[in-house]
Amino acid sequence: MSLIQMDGVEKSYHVRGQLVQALASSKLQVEAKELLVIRGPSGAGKTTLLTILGGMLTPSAGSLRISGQDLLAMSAAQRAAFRSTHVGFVFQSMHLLPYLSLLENVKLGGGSEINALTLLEELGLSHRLAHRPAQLSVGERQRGALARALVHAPKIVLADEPTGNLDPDNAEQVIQTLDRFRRQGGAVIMATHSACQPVDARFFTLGQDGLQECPSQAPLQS
Amino acid sequence: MGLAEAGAFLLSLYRLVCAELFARRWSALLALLALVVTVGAFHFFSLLASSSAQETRVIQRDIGLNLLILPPGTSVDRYWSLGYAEGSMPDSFLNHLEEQNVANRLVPMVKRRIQWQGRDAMLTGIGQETFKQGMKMKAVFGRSIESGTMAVGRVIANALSLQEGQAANLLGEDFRVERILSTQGDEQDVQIFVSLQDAQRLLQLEGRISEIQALECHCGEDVSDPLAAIRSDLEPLMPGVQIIRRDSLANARRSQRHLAEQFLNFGFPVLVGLCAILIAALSMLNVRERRPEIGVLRALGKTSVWIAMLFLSRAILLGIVGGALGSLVGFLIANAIGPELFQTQAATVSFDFSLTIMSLWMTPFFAAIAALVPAAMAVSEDPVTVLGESS
Repeated sequence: MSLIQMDGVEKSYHVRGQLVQALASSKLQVEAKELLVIRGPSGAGKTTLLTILGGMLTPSAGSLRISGQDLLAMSAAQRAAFRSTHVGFVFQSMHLLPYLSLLENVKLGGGSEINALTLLEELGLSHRLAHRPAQLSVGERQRGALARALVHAPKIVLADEPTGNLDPDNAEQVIQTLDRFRRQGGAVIMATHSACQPVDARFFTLGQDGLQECPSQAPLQS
Repeated sequence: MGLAEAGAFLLSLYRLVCAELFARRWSALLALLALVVTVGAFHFFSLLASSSAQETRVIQRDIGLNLLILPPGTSVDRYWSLGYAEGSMPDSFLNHLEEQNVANRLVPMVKRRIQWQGRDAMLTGIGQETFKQGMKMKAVFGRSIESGTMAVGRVIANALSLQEGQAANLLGEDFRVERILSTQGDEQDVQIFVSLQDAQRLLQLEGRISEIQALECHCGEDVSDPLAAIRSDLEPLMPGVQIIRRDSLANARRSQRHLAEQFLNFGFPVLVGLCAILIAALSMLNVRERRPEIGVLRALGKTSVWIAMLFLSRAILLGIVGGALGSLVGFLIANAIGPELFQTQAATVSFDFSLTIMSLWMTPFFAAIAALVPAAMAVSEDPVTVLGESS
């Protein structure tokens, strides 16, 4: 059984009487220990796809099963509970809560304090535990956000442009962390424009025809 | 959810709320100020109204019998210049009063100015103090004078060299001097008190009285014109009687209390409304400012209930602190400037724990109600939209 089984998922909105397609019909199958890189122009639906996979957005059509559970049959509260145990999110803008310390932000993701401390140490942030996000560099904030996404040991990490605001060194560190998570049994789905991309990954493009897997496994360089 | 889980949940929520309040402290302080002002004003006026009411009761008690009921046709100016009513009325009028909700305590009297052994004196016959029908009270007003005895004012007693216990002839009848009254510096010093029946007999006014002194029932009630109310009660039963109230000071207190009560009835709801609007507006701004945070919390798996609780807890916490501070500030201000403003004694402005306890649960409740719509807005925020906007 695949970790993620998505079939015919699409999302459209009605804006002022006009139908706007945010995500064309897409199919996806993801196994554990896989890392998927999704590329596409702005507005292609990358964020929409990730939020559907995370159970934050209900598609207009299609089916979606994660770990054998039908996500679309769940109530909002059940999806929230599912998200808190199975899914980790990483955003381009990090979205750390400005009034919490780094450690408190990571703990907000769930999991134990020991997990949080271990992760922050692995990410080279153990000297920044009590710092507020405003006192951290952009790279440190993104590593903190990554720790928050991983602290509850999710099965899947959904990363939306996680390296978009980072310099190459920090971007590399984030990619390595995600790759390590993958090798430990998790699945990563990452939407990105960045040139810095993992080698051992499946690559997809998202456009008007939906999600298409690229035949070449080689990462594109910008 | 087990008890331990619920405790951990509330603790994590409380920590988050406290951290956020501290981080956005100016906005929080503004909301807190609104609550403190509202609760403080409520306490200030409540404490002063209560203090004023207490003083009214004390003054009323000190004034004693504050209602004079004089026979029909009595000229009030003549009454004050002579010190007694020249006319009389049947003592059965007393029975009418006992049945009415006008006075609690009633003392019938007959008074006449007499010459006694070459001295001017006021002969005053006092009847038993009676009470409104159905009331059982301890007699506190009036002097109990037994038939055949008299109590004599100090000036008359000194002038006639009277001693307690000696016999004295009054208008042809023998009496025993029961008491010599202490100097009062008023008309009592020239009064001779005997029982009502003795006085009626001496003055040939059997079955008649010249005045009824009473303690009115309306003294603690919200009657805008108590005298008019008493007149309308008595007129059908005792047509033409003159009624005089002697409680101008008590009236002044009552007016002050009414001022405080008017604020509590009309001004306070307006203040509460303004406070609710301010809290709701500040909560809405808070929700707006925290839209990305709401999106992140959603992404982290927080439920709608959790997010609603986050915003309501914030309001409740502000309400608890605002309620406590407002109670204290209201009391301190009432104690500091209340006595001067309301002409009351500082000692009568006492801390009211029941009022504080009421504020401690009403204020958080009120703040939560004011934050209900913003909390609902927070819950209904679309996480995808807000995260998309802030990326």
